[in-house]
Amino acid sequence: MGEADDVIDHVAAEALGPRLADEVGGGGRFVMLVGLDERGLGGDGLALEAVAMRPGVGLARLRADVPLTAAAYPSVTPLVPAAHWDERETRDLFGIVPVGHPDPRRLVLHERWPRGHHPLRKDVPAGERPPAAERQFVPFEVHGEGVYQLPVGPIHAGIIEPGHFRFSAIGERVLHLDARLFFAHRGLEKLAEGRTFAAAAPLVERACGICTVTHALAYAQAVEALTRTEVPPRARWARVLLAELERLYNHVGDLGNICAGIGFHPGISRLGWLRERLLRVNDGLTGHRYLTGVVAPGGLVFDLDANALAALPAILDDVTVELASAVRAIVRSEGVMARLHGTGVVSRETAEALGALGVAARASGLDLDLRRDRPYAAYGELAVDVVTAGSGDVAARFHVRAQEAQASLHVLREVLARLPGGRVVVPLASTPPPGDSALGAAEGPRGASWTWLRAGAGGTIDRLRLRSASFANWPVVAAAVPGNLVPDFPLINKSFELCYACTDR
Amino acid sequence: MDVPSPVEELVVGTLQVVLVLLVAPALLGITKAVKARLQYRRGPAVVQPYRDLAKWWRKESVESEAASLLTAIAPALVLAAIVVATLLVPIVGDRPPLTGWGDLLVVVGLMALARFVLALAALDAGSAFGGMGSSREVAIAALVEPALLLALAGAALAAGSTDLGVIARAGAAAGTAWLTPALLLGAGAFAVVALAETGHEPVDNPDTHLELTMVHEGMLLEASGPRLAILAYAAELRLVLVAGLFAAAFLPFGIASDVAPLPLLGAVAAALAKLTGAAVALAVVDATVAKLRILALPELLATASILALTGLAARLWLPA
Repeated sequence: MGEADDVIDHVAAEALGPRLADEVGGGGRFVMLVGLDERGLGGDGLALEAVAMRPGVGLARLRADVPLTAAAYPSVTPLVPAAHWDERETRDLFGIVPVGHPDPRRLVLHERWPRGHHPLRKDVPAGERPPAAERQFVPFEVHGEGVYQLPVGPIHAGIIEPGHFRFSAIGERVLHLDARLFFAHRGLEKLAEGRTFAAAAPLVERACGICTVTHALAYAQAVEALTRTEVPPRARWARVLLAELERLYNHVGDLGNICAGIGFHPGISRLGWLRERLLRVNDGLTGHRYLTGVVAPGGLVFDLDANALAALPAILDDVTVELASAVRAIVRSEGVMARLHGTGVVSRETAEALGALGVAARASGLDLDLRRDRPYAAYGELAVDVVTAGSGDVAARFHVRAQEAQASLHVLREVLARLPGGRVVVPLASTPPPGDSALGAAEGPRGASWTWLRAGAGGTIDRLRLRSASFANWPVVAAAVPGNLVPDFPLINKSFELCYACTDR
Repeated sequence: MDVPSPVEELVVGTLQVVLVLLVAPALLGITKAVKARLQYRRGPAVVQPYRDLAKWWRKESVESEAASLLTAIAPALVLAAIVVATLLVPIVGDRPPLTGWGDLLVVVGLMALARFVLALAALDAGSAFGGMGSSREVAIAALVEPALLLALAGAALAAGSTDLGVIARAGAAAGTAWLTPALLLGAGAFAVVALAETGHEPVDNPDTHLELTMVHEGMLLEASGPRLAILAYAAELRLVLVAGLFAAAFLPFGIASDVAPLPLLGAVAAALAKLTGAAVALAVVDATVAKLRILALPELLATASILALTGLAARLWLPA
């Protein structure tokens, strides 16, 4: 995995866009853009690395140096639209300006952050609080006769994460949606710098409360690639178990949330209760309902509870039956399906261009899943069914989730049958030389989450970047809404059910 | 039929006023409790709405900077319109407390007045959600009111009067013969309209926290403190009003025509049973039905109108 990624192509900053476009045009997929400050490793400038996944398992890593003063380069977004948020983020956090970017507004650091303050540069200490600037957010609005603006959030009537949504609507019809996130930006990437790999693990895991295994797994795999650590077989299989349990409780809960979007209580109640049962399974296996604190670099922190493991097959059978029955009840309700069909359509072209991941991509016909395309843990030894649908609407995302949940149950049974014995953790095999970097990835409930990791001196972190599936999919949500009705937005949003915290970090 | 003395009328009227004003929050409590049970939840106590009203009453009202005098007086106007409307509906006795002051047209008109004032007040705060709630409420109201009148017209035709007391007496006297196919069609239409009128699924979800989907709750988002308490109480009373209207027109059985302790007790029990039945029915609908897409609401309400029209046609052209 990591070993194969290690070839870095050094390119001129002007060539970054065309080279990346070649990779993506040739059947590859954009993975992420990483800003770097080389001064932490004795260099004297900034750098950018663009990562793309090539067909097969290899990664294309293109690195370009950027001077510290007048840091700028030709934007890659016009050629590779999927990079648009990455470029805005790098501009905010490193001050590397993508010249010609179609939407050069602030993304991560809102307008109150002063100009010239770029916290991920090495000369800015972690935790610095610069004085607030007197600038205002300028939303993108559509104006015209009969068009009105509808601001929603960041504080909502319900207890949900913070996000500001600016609708331009005519009657009940949405013309444009501008989503502004990053209210939950905690500077996790900066906080990780200088920590040892082990000390940063809890930080990464807590990027989000419901994708903990995904984040921990992606990070652990990056560390293991960097340190050439071979994880023991029991840990590899147990990681699959944990990852599928996470997918399962998320999918079950998200199917219920789609019902909440239309006020369909039988679905909310049955799936909510089923999710609760799954959380209790998690608790029994690991002592944590959301599986936090189990996966760590080198394997698992501790072995799974033997009694809970023994009880799992019977519970899985129960869950299989109840899930199928609840989904059937929802699908048979004409009133529900009338709301789901044709709502929030994402075309295959849009999903492809914006770099959609996970359910959002598969429901629009993109056949991609890291468990099959870049196998990790024990997925290489398992057959994973990749579920796709063509219509790209809420109904498609509902069906893809429902079928993936059943497929997860299938994988879980196979893991339980084949789970090997032995220890679950090994010490990291080596200390990587400063400047070595590697990527790790895991297919979470919302799609592929990636960790980009570079070693500093003495087994510490020089740079860490987390790019969650939610980060990739938020622009897709904004693209799915125009043309739909204002009261259908919660339903569309819930059909993606993205996290804010692991987007904002 | 002998006309009761003013004292007797006062007794029955007072009984209805006290009963209606007191049980209104409990009705909402019953709806919520039943709904919770249907959703595998324990749910709040039946008395929770009383506690909520008391809590809001003690809090201060926070007012939008854009608010005018309208925001201050709207809650009183809304409540007054609804209270007067309930006094025109025979719920306990067959002579409503304000007998002779207005018929069913006035009741429907007062309900429209309450809605109109509330919609204006929601706009007054200058927030986007209030405006959105208002625009939806008024759009729905334009379809609800004709359907409501058509649904009640069948009962009025059968009784030969639009006076609700006369209708209730005619129904009570006729017994089960009152429930002709024509009237049942009207009752069906009324039931559909009642869901819209009281803000329940599939028209509106009273429990949602999703601002963008709100109708009635959207209009209340800017209200707080005693003003919220009054508006919430008015909404609870509206439920009693709609249920009472349904009972008076389509199920006027068990209503008191004699002013004696025993018949009155029976009438109170019958009224409570009917109101509870309505609350439970709303809970069941809420718990089992998904919300309609907002642009599909005209179809639902048009269906109700056609149902009511069919009932009228049946009465006018079919042999009795």
